[in-house]
Amino acid sequence: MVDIVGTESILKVENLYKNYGSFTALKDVNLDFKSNVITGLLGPNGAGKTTLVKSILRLVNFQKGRITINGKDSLDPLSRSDLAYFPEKFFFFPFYKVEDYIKMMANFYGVNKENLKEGLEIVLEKFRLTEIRDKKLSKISKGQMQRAGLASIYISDKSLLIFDEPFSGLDPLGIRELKDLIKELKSAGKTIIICSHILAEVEKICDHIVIIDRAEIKFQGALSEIGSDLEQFFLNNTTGGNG
Amino acid sequence: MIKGLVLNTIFKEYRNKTLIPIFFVTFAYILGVSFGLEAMEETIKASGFESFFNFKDQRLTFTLTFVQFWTIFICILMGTGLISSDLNNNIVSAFLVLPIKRSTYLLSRIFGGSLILGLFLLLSISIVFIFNWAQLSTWEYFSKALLCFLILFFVSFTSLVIAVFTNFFTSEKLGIFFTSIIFFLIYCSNLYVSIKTSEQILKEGLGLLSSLALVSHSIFPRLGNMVWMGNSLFSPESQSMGDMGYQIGHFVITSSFWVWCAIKTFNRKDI
Repeated sequence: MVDIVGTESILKVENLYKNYGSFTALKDVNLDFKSNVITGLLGPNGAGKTTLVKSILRLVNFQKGRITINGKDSLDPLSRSDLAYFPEKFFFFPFYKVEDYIKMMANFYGVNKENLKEGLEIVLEKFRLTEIRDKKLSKISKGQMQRAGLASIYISDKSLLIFDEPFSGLDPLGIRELKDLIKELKSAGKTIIICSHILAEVEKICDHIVIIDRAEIKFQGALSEIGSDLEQFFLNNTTGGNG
Repeated sequence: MIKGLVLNTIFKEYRNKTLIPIFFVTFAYILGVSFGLEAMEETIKASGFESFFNFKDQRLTFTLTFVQFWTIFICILMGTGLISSDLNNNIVSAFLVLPIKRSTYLLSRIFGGSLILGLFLLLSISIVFIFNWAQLSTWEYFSKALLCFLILFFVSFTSLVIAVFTNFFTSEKLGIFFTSIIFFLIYCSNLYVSIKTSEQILKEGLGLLSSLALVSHSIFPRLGNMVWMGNSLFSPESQSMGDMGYQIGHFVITSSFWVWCAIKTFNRKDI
């Protein structure tokens, strides 16, 4: 098992509360994500994982609390300047060609022209997209679409990467490639947050685990603290997440 | 990044399959009217009858009214889809996680859309005026073409902004449906107010229909006036739209509506 190597706080969530009307989605959430650590954000369906991720990214507003990314309040758009996000059920305008999509996203992420020129071929090769580089997103499979999205994250070279349910929709080979990619990104010094409910995959790559259930954090700590049976530990700490 | 967002908007709208036929229909109509009315008049003359209507002189009015009508239609189609097409399938998150403000994202989308509108109007008006070149002196040609472009662009841009801000529906079809109804009502009220001036309405008392017409006419910022101004370039006998108080009323109600729509849009949780 890999030990936690990070010491520097890169993302901090303090006293976070988020309600949707009378429904409490997040309640007094406090988290500290260290640099160069892969953190698995686990929880049953409806536990509040995606809401937490969306709050971090300011895709939703929250009622109370504070989130800081690299020391900057998340209210400041610049706090997201060293962050890339891979959403659940990744999708983009279908009329874009694979290569054009990666180039466009690279531009949005601020990759300079020289790096893009060098990196594009590497990325296309790495994600097995070379043969379909001129195909439109509407003409490629779901797995290929997922790979195109991951390629854009990879080329962004951001230090904080957030993946929301990245394993869903991938075949076994795709899952294996993604796990290898995440490990490689960690070796390159990236901080990674993986939001998932597939325990088996998370267990193999994460250093740190956060368990969320019914809007509250039930556990946060190193995977090594949990012992050998993550599934049992998860079941002991959750109640189904439907409340 | 802003440049990228604007280019993405243009590319996205350029790919909009509904807009392309509209562009072609408009140009076909302009050509048809420009040549058709002249041919009609020639045919009437050749048959020995006196023309009861001066078709030739009405060419500009016919074509420009049509251009304006289609431009509003384009505004509805494009404006309602500018944001909602991003909300569908959660594409919007790809843009909102970038280190930009939400307002930057919204304004880039609107700016991109207005560039397409501008290009459409520029081409349409150029074609209209090229076919009518012989009727006008050079200076008149340029000044009228420019003024016409500016007026129609202002009206179109306003319509586009309204279509974007009044579209709170994530379904594009619903958005187009409801925004079309709003525009239709506004047009009806414009027509009504054009016929019954504000002075007449005030004299006769504000009945339900008059009140609705006046309010909805005020909501649509000076569109009636701008269209009237555009028409008056070619029909000097057009009547005035009302007194200063009426204009101020327009401005106040319109501005309030805009501000309200803008606040609602900027506060949307998913944008």
